[in-house]
Amino acid sequence: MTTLAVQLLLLLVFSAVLGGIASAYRDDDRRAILRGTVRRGLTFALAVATLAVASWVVDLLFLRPDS
Amino acid sequence: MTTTELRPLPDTSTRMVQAILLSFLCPGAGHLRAGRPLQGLFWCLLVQGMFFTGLHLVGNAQLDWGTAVAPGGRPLLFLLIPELGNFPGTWFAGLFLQSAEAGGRYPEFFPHRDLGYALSGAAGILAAFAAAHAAGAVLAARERPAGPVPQVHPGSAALLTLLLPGLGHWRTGRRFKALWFGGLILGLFVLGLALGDFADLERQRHPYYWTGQMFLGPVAWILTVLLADLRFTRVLPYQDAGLLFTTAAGLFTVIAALDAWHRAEQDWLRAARRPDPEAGAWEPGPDEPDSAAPAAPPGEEAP
Repeated sequence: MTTLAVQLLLLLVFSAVLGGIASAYRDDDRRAILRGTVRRGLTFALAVATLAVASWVVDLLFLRPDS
Repeated sequence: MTTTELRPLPDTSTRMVQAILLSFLCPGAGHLRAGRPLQGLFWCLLVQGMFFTGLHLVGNAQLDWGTAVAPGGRPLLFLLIPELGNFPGTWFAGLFLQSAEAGGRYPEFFPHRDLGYALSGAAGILAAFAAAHAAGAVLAARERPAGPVPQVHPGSAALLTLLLPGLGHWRTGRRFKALWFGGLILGLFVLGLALGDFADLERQRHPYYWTGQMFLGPVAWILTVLLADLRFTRVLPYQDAGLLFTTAAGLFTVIAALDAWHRAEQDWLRAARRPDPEAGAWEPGPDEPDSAAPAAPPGEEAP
């Protein structure tokens, strides 16, 4: 059984790695990479979380048999 | 990106593309374009040796995951990833060999099947990187700096990244990026393995994830053999996350290799176009805007 807290943690970990890889690909300077990692990681995590919430709301409103 | 991009001379670019195309037609052939026949022979023997040994070990069962592209009945291509990086070997196997499963046997009958999968898959990935190495060798031969020469040419930097994520950056002097790429990629891979109880690397169960995982390089190739006895026996809570993480780590290695190539190419071109060879020792790092200034034409002779 999964828990929401662990799923969020895994999302943050993956977002941080994705942001880190993308930033290191874009930049060659240590400070720019670190700054870009935070920005890109948070952007990605927020986008995924927003989609998750939207999916959950659609599920609640339209997809349940009793809705 | 704040740097000013340097580009190879048009003739060099043409030869680099030719080297890549030749490598695609026959791994190792691209090195002939760089005047390195022995390296070409080495790549050819290595790739084909690994590929056909891998096929033999598992009774050609890899072919079951492939699809022949034969418009009008003419076999043009045998789509099988990651083996397709070795185009001629995969094409030959798809055309003339038959999977053991077609004869009523199953891969489980082959005790070294995971080694076979690893060898044939690694051969395809190595063939693709051989093309990159050949192109880098062409650049190194055509635009050789008059002064201090960078430690590695772009093809070697990309290949080193495949061998161990971050190694290509380390050899170009980018220690922070080497540790950054290596730490993130290998950390994500190990975390993914842990989430999947170290049973993530199984081609028969999830061949598409497996293909992505193999791009991590020798670390994944060796682990897929060493962890062959571990299999999913139940649905784990974070099994999917584990598969995603390990596969993404493999694909991130490709991104790191592309970056290693690009940075090493810029270093090489900057050194090749440095106006004064006596200006001092070559140093890696971000390009200065004035580094793109035209300089003395690079030598046309291969070393």
